[in-house]
Amino acid sequence: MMTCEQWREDISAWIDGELSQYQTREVAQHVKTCSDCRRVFDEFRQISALSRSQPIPTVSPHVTDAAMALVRAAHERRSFWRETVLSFSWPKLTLAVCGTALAGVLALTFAQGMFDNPYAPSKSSGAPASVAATGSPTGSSSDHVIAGELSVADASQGTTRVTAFAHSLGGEAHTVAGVRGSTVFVTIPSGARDTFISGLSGLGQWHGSVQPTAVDGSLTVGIKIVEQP
Amino acid sequence: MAESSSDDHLIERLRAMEPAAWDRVMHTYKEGIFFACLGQTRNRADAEDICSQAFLRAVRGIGRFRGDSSIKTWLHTIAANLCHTHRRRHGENRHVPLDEAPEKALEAEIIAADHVVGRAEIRTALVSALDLLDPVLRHAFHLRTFEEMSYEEIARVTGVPVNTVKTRIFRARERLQRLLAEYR
Repeated sequence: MMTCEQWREDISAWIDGELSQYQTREVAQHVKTCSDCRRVFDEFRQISALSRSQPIPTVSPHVTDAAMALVRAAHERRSFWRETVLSFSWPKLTLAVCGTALAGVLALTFAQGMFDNPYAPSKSSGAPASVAATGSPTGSSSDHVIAGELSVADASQGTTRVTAFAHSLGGEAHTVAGVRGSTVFVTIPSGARDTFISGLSGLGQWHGSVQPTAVDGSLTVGIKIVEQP
Repeated sequence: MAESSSDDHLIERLRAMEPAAWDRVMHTYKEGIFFACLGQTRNRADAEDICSQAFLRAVRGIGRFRGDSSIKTWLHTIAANLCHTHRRRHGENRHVPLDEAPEKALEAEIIAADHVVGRAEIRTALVSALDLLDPVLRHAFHLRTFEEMSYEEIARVTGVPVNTVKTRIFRARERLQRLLAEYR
C-alpha cells in the first residue's frame, strides 16, 4: 500500500500532466478520500500558479550579439563560395576545368623542354646519359650539350674539388645540381662559361666544351672526374 | 521529443547559417534560456554571460545537432551544461543541502515583514524561497513551471532519468510549500 508521501509525488506529477490514465484515476481517487493529500494538491497547484505569475526578467538585447556575428560571418563565407564557385553553370564549369587542365599540360611541356638536360642526374638510369669521352666534346649534336671530363691528380678528391670550385663561383650563380658517381652536375649561367672553363682547367686537365644556349642562358654541365694518367 | 517537419526545415536553415533563422531562434528562446540561467546562477551578469556562450556554442555545434530533441531542449541542455560548469568553478555558495532546514531564514524574513501580506509580497517571498532551493531542484522546477517542458525533456536537459525529474519537481514543490506556509 502506498503512503501519503508516495501519493504526493504522484500528485505533483498529476498536476504536470505526467501520469497515465490509470495512474490519474488512482491518484484522483486517493485525493478524494484523503484530506491531507487534498490540501497538498491544492497548495501545489497554488504554488505553480503563483510561480507562473512571476514576471519574466528581461535580458540584455546584446546577449545574442556574439553568436549572431558568428552566424553572419559564416553566412558571408558560404555566400562567397556559392557565388564564386557553385554559381557556375555546368558548361561553364566544365570549360573552366578543361581550360585549367590544358594550361597545366602546356606549362609542364614547356617547362620540360626548357629545362631538359641530358646530363642531369637521372632517377631511372644508373648513370648520366652521355658523360664525355676523354679528349673530345660530347653530345655536340645538340646546342644544349656541354660536358667533358676532368682529369685530376687524385680522382677520389675530384668531386669535392669541383663542388668547392663551383660554390666558390657562387656570385655568378654556379650551383651544384647533383653528384652521380664520379660525375658532378653544375648549373652555370651562360655568361660564366669562360670563367668556369678556366677555373676547371686550374683543377686539372679539362676535355670538353660548354656551349650555353639554353633559353634562360643557364644550363647544367656534367663533369666526369677521372684520375690523371 | 522528435522534431516536426517545420522544425526539420528550421534546423536545415540553421545549418545553412541563415541569419534570419538564427535570429528567430535566438529571439524566441533567449528570455527562457536567460531565466533558466538566472535560476541557476542567481546572478544577472553571470546568467547573461552563460546565455551568450550558450548561443555561441549552439552556432558552432549546429552541425552535430541530430534533431532528436526540440531546438528548445537542445539549447537548454547547452545552457544547463554551462551552468553546471559555472557552479563547479565558482562553487555552489547557494547550495542548500536537502536535509537542512533553510526555511528558518525565510521564516525570519516573513516575521520581520510584519504587515498585511499582499500578492506582491507573496511573489517576493516566492523569489526568496526559490533562492533557497537546492540548484538541481530549482532547475527542474524552473524548466517545468516556466518553460513548460515535459519530464522527458527535462530529463534530457539535466541528464537524469525521468523518475529523478519527477522526484526533484515534487521535492521542490514540497519545500516551497513549507517555505511559503506563513502566507496561507
